[in-house]
Amino acid sequence: MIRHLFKLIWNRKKSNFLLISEIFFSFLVLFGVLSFGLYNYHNYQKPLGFTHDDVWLLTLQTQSDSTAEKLAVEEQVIQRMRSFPEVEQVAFTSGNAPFAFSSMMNRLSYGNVKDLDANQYDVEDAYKDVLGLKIVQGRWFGPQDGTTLHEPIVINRQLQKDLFHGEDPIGKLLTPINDSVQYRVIGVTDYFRASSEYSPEEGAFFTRINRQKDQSTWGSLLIKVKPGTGVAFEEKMMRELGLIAKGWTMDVSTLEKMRQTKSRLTLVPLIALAVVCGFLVFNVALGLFGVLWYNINKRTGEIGLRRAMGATTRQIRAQFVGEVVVLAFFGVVLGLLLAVQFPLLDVFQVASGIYWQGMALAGLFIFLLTTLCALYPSRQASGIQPAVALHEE
Amino acid sequence: MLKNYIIIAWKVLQRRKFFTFISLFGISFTLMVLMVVTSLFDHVFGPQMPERNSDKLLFVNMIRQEGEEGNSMSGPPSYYFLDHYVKKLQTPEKVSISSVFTPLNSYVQNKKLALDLKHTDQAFWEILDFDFVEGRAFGKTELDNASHVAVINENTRKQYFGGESALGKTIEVNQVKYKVIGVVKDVPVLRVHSYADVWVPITLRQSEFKNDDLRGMFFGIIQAKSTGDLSAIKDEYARMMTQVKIKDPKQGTTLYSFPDTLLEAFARTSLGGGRESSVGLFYTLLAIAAFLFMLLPTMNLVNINISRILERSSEIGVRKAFGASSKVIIGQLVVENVFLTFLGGMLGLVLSLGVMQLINNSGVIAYADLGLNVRVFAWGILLCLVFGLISGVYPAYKMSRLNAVEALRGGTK
Amino acid sequence: MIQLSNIEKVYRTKTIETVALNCVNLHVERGEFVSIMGPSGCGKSTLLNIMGLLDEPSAGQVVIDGLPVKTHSDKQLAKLRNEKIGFVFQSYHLIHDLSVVDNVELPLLYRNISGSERRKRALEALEKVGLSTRTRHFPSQLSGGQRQRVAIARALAGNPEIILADEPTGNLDSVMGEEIMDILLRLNKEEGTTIVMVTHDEHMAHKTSRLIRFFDGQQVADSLVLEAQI
Repeated sequence: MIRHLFKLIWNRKKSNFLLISEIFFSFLVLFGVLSFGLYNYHNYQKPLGFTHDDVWLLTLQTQSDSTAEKLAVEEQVIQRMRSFPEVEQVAFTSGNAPFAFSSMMNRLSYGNVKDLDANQYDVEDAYKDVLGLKIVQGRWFGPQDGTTLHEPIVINRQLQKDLFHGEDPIGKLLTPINDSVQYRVIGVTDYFRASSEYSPEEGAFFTRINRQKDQSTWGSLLIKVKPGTGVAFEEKMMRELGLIAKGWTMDVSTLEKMRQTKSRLTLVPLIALAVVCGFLVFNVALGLFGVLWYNINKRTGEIGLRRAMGATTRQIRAQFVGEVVVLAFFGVVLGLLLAVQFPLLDVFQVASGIYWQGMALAGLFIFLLTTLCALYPSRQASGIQPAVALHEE
Repeated sequence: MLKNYIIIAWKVLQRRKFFTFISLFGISFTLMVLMVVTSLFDHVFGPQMPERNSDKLLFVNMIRQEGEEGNSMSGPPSYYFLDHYVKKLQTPEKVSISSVFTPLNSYVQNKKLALDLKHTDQAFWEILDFDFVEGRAFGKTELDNASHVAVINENTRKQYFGGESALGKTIEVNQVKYKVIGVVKDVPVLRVHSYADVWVPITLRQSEFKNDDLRGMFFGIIQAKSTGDLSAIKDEYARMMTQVKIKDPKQGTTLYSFPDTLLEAFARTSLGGGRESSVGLFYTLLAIAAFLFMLLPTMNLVNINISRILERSSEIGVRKAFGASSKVIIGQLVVENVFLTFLGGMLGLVLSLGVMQLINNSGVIAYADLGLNVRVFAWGILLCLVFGLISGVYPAYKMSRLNAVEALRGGTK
Repeated sequence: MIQLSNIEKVYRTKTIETVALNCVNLHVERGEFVSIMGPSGCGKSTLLNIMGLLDEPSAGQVVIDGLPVKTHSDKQLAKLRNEKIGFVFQSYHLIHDLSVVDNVELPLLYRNISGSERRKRALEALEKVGLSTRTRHFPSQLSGGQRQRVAIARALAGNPEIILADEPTGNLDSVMGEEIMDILLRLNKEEGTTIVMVTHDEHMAHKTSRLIRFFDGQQVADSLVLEAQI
């Protein structure tokens, strides 16, 4: 029977061409959108590796040219911040604070791995406590790191995997591309994905800010406040800091709000895509339904004949559903030929598993949808009276 | 004849209500998406408040310094560059300098307001056409004195002053107090050159005027005397760029900066790597995207049209028997399909109005004011026509080749 | 073999009630070649449909091989049609998109038979109608007479006990009509297949062993032609 169906569809390929190509394109659209969705979902499932509750980000900017003045003001600001009873911890960081629209990449080499791009975060010692980082191996920065020959760094697990391939990284020396100093790995954190909840896991490492030693200003201050601290304190804090940093522009935002902004950046296009894709597929399903319905009405003679030849109503129904499934099969196979290229050629550096899942889901969805579209028309077909059908032609 | 066709088309639509529904659904939804996108495009690049006469405006929002080893630095130009070079150009009618907006905090009654603050000069208010709800813009005196005065938008007035008249009242932003002298309608955030919540005199940032770096945090807006002058301005600008002195050749020896229209500015930064204008590429990409998007609905419509037309094979047979040529038949079927598409287009228009309202109210784009206007509407009509022709011609062609005798018998074999 | 007793068939629409068959009694014996004649619309085809279990009578009973079919399920009816009955139609009813041999295989498709066995039987059936050379053609490539021969081969492929033919020569010219008639006669004589044929053609009808005349849904004459001729 299955061979019979394939034969029917194959011999009718010219008139089925449009239907098959519609299914083909639907499959590709579904595959694309589903892969995109799955990619984000998989990323979302992974832990961020830090807690952002009750963490604020204060950015400080000035037009002043005097480094000495900037350093003095920053020192005063951090002292004042520490003295607030509502504040638990504060730490300066480079501009790429969690969920900020800023990133800093550096290239690292070790052994066979050459020029690996990794996110660099310049942070103060308190950063770990502000964000609740977890150290799984080695240790975090401490005062003893002030005088070491090599610059100490802490890496995240992803970087350990990419760079050391399971080797024990503690104490290993690394050479960054644009720096004269060498790095020495002193610890490994768990996950650390700071850019967005939907960003993939990338290699990251932390370097230590030593404000006593290097004369640079940082501009971003992460503040861990006591739970329940609200706008009232924020206003008071800004007023007092305004007295210290006169003429500076200061902006404060909660990490929670920044997280929402960042996730909206992924979700809005995703939802828009899903809506458009849903519409396209629904449209195709309706069209398929209409065309099948019409075709089956046109083939009453054949239906009557098959009944006369001894087909039961159930067999007629199965045949028409089967035909549509075969049609979908052709469309999906064509689509797969193209879709398979994505994991094989490693397009967009997405894990191939996501593409395979996207293909499986898209295929499943297409078969489900086409079957659903075929059910009603084929039920109608099986209800045709053979005597009437044969007489009509 | 046309009227006749349309009457027949109307009858045909009523005959197979389900097919009609499928067709209309597909058409209206497709056109809705296209119209929302068009409206969004118009919202960002078209002439809108306050850049109403955008065909006479050019924007300077980037300067790029490239070195021989491929190192490059780019960003908005400095006040010095705009004041020292761009303002000296002869062809433009006016040049305005304003700062890139900075997000700042303001606190009112234990509530936090995140406000975007922009520093502007006097020409800014003359070149751009803001809708003032009350008050006025700041002028020469306020700029000369570096007065702490501000123009705010309606939303800020509502948030800060509860919607009452704000004139003469004081607003505190980033611990600095300003006297409100004007309130304007909200400017959409996508209008980066004019958007802000609070506009204050640029002279409040006088300390930065002396800094002779080329890059800084300012935008220039150039107004031409007439649309025809734009290319002359671009030419003069290019000549001017060769005269710019590079203070620090270590950071790069080649300079790139262009006065661009809104669309050019966008295409140049996103596609042209800051050098090429890439408007052509941008349009090509848009066309490809639109084509891909329309592909499935069109195929679907073609499919349904074929079924729909095959059903009428006996009618077509009769027409042929009575002397209608293939051309006439194709004409009839295409007219019918275009008619159907326009019906779908009308529906799509209504739907798109709803979706635009939804986007405006959702706050996804701050102060978005998507809407239909003559331009978007005209695009919609054009899209309808294209869609109708594409999806109607193939089935009609196929049908017109039908043998009259077979058509009368109602078969296709 | 097939016994029809007191068959009535009434078509009802909202406004009109049409009596197609009125109290028909007919017994077809094994090995007979029955032709049914009558003007258009006299209910011949309806009778054939009822005999072929494609249609249900409004009243009366159909008995096949001693078993009344009234209580049969859809599945049982389909099985009877498939195994006992073969159909031949005026307009052939071949499936355009299938090749000749695939068309002939059709009734076997609804049995549990392997693909190779199906193919073997289909080719045998085609040989019987003299079309062994055309198995890979499509119906559109054949003449009317050839198409009808394919249809007969299809009816034969299932090895039925009875063939019901509804004006098998109706669409054909006289030469081709004769060819088809010869095949049917040969089947009846050599294989012993029971045949019931509806026809318009006196000449064809007189070649069969039994002739039944219909008028306005009623059987008006039943004669054994063969005996009369002898």
